[in-house]
Amino acid sequence: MAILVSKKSKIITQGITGSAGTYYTGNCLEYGTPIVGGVTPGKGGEFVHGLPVFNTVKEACKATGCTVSMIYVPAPFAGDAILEAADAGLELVVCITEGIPIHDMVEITRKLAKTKKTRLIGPNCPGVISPKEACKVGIMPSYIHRPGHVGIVSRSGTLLYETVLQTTQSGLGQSTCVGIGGDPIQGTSFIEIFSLFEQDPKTHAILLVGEIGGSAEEETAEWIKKHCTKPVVAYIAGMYAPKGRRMGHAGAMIGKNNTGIASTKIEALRKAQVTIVESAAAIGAEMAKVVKKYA
Amino acid sequence: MDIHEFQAKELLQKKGVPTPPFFIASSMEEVESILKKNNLNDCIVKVQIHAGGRGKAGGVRRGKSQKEILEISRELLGMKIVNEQTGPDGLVANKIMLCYPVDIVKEYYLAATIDRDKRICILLTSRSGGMEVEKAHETIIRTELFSQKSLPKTQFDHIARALGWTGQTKEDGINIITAIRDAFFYYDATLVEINPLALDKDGRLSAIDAKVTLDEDALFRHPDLALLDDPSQRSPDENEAKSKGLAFVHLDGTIGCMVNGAGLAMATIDLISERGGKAANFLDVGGLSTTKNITYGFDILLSEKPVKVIFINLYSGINDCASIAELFKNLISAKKPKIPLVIRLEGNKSKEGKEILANAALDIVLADTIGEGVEKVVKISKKV
Repeated sequence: MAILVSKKSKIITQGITGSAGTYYTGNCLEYGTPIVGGVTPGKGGEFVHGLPVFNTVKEACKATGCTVSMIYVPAPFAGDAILEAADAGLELVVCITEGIPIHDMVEITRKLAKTKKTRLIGPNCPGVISPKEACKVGIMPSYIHRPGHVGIVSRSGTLLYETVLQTTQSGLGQSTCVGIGGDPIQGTSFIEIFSLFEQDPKTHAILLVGEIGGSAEEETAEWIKKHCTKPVVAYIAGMYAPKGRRMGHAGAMIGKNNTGIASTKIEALRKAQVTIVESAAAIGAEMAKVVKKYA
Repeated sequence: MDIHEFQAKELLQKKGVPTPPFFIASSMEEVESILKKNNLNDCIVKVQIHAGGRGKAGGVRRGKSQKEILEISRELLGMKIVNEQTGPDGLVANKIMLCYPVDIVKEYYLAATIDRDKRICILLTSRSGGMEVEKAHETIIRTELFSQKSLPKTQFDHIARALGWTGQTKEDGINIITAIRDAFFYYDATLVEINPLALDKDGRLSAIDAKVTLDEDALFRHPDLALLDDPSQRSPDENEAKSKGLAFVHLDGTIGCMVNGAGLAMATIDLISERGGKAANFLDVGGLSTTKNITYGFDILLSEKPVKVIFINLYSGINDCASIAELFKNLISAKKPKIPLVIRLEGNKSKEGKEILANAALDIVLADTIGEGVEKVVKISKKV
C-alpha cells in the first residue's frame, strides 16, 4: 500500500489537450500510471496518447469509472475545474496549476469541506507519487524515486525532488511523496498527510519539508506530539530569508512581527521530538540515520 | 501587490470609507499650487512608499504654516527611507501626501485579511489602534467574513459594544466595516487595513492611514488595478526579473544564485549562509526551468555589480539536463562572463548534461550535489 494513489487508481487529466497536460499525461503513462482518459471542454471525442477525451468530468466518470483527476488547466479556469471534479464525485483532485486567486481558493476549500468526499492536493504543487505502485500523478522526475518506506511531504516542488534524491542516494526508498503546494491556501495540509502516513503500514518514517510563512509547521508539531508514533525528520527552508519579501511562492513570506519565521517552526518541531536537519545537503543522510536507529 | 496609501484611500473611498481630505504631489511646484489653491496652512505631510514605519523614520510630519509645509515637503520629496521593511537599499518617496489634520479623540484598528491556516477570510477589529495595536493582541476580535453574505446584525452589535460605539458612531462604524468588507472582496485584496480609524472631537470616524494589498494572481480580472503598480518601489533588476516572470529578491552578499523552484532557492541560500558565504540574491527561474527563463536569469546575474561568483543550481523536470547544458555552453561562449561559475545540474538526463559541460572546455566548476556546489562557490567567493 501507499497513500492517496496506487496502481488501482483510475486517473483522468483535466486539460489533457493543452501542452502541459499532454506532455505530463504521456510522462506519467511511461511511469506506469493508470490514466484512463482526459477532459477538455469542446474537445470531446478526440484522443490523446490513445486515451479518450471527454467534454466534462461527469462524462469521463460515466465512461471510465475514474476516481482521481490531475489538473493542468490555466489558472483563470482551474478553480472551476476543481469544483467540476468535486461535483462529479471524484475522491482525489491533484491541481498542478499555479496562480489561482486566493479568494477563489477560500471558496473552493469551503465547498470541498462541505461535500467531505473530495480531497484536493495543491494547487501550485508537483503532485503525488507512490513508487512501489508505479503511480505518478504529477510532474516530478520519475528516476529519482525508489520503492521504500519513507513518506515525504513538502510545500515546495524542486526541494521535494532534492529531498527524494538524497533519500534514494542514502539507500532509502519512498512509500509516497506528496507536494502539498506553495500557495497560502492548500487543499490538504501537512497534518492531513501526516495522519494518512500514520495509518499507512508501509510508511515507517516521515520526512517533512517545510518553509517560511504561515504556521502550518507549528500546528503539525502539535499534531505530531499527540498522534504520531513514527519517527519524523524535518527540514525548513528560508532560515536566512529577509522579512516582508515574497520568496517565489505566494505563501513563503515572513510577516511584520516575525510571523512565519523558520526558527519558530524549528523550535516547535524540536519540542515534538522531531529530528531537525539544518543543512539542506544532509537531509538524506540524517533520514538514513533516523531510519537505522528505529529499525 | 503593494500599493501606496493614497491609492488605498482612493479605493476605499469608492466603497464608502471616509478619509480626511488629501492631496498628492510629486514636485515642489505641485505642493505650492496645492497650498495656494486650497489655502492650506496646517497639514500632515506623508511620504508615499511601499513600507510601514514611515513615522518613526521621520517620513510623516505636520506643518503649521505654509512656510513650514514647504520646508517639510522639500525634505520629504525624494527622501529615502531605510528601515527593516524597506530592505537595505531603502525606498525613495517620489510622491508625498498633504493631508488635513484630524483632532483625534480615540483610535481603532480595522482590517480584513485571510487566515491561511484556517482557510477563511476574517475581519479584525480592536479598540486599540495606531501604534498600540501591536501590543493589543488580546483586544482584537476576529469575525469570519463571507463573500456571499454580509455580517449579521448580532455580529455588528458585538463589535460595536467591544469598540464602545453607540448611536451615530455605531451606525457610521458599521457602514465603514461593511465598506471594508466590500472592498476586500471586490478588489480581490489579501489585506485591507485601516490603522488607525480615528474618532474626532465632533464624533466623526475617518481612516487616518490605510493599507491595501492586492492578490497578484487575481489581477487578470482587474486590469484597472494592475495599473496601480509602482515600479519605482522596486530596484531596476527586480523590475527586470518581474517583467520576465521571474522571482527576484535582492540580498546583501556576493554570490549570485540561479535556482529553479522557490523552496530549493531558499534552501540554497540557507546552505550558502551556513557554510559562511553570503548570497547576493534570491532568483527563482521557475520550477520548469525553461530556456527563456534561464537566459533572462543569467543576464540579470551578469548585470549585477555586487555579484563576484555565480552558483547555478537547477533541478530539471521537463527541460532535460542535456539541453540545459547545451544552453549554458552557448550562453557562456556568447556572453563570456568575467566571473567564476559553479554549476550543479540534476534531473532528467543529468549524466548527459554533466558530460556535455565537462567536455565543453569551458572555464566553469561543476558539482554533483547541492552540498558540493555550495562548498565550492563559498570557497571561491572568499578568494575573489
